[in-house]
Amino acid sequence: MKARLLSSLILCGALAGCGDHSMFRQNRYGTFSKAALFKNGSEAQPLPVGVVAQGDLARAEAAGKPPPVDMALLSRGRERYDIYCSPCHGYSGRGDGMIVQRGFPAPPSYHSDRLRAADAQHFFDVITNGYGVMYSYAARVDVRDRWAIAAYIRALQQSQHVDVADVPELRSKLP
Amino acid sequence: MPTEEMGSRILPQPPEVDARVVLTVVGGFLLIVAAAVVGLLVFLKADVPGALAPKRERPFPAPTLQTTPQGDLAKFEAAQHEALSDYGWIDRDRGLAHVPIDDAMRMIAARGEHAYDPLPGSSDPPADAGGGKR
Repeated sequence: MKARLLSSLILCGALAGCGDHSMFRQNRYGTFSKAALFKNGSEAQPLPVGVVAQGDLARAEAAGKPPPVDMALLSRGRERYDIYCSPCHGYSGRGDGMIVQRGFPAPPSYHSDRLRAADAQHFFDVITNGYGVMYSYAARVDVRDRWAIAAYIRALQQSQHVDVADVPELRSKLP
Repeated sequence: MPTEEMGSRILPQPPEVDARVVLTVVGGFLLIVAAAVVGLLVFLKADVPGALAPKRERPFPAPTLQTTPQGDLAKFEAAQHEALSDYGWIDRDRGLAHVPIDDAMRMIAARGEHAYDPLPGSSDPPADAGGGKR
């Protein structure tokens, strides 16, 4: 009696496993398929007027308002720069990163007259939109981090060009 | 029933072919080839200077493969970080120096609200001033 009950239960379990339970077929529209539910008959619907992605307004506000520069921001900028920028621009910003050593077109040096005279917004915009063969890093570098990198670029420029007359105590450290 | 044995079959070439004709054709072919070779040599000698001279070996460029990419990167990073970690003169006559990046970060932070402002002057040679490819 027990054996018969056990075999019946196993049979029921096996039968329950029959059929397509892979969730492959679902009650939904396929991409770009016809859809009677919508007026234009298409599954792909344009965004309603005025819709923005979550966080877009905050990002737009942050883009126009550079954060105050302190050591924490510069350290953050240094970290982000070493990760995202140094492969091409080099750690010292001379456009001689490892990717360039391996044949990639060299970016300009941050220590050139043109880029020393460029305002920080230029660096922010290049990170955001790309420039030449450099593609946009907007998806990788947060808005605040872009300003941090721009500030760190100023530090890089400063490190390679200090007027000793402005910093007299520096004279004792120079060879 | 044929009594033909192996080796006594009828050959594709009948025995009555005139050997002189064959020799004439072959001889004519060889003459044409020889004339073409001689003509080519004469042409090359007269009109293509250096064509008959022995070729000199051209040095083959070394492959730009990295056998130890990790080691290359470590050396590269060490050299780059060194440039950002010491004091030195860039132009002693003009009083320009380079300083460690930590000092430069403190200088920028000390500028306060002018931290983002452009810096005066350039430490690069003029040839680089226009920027490179981007």
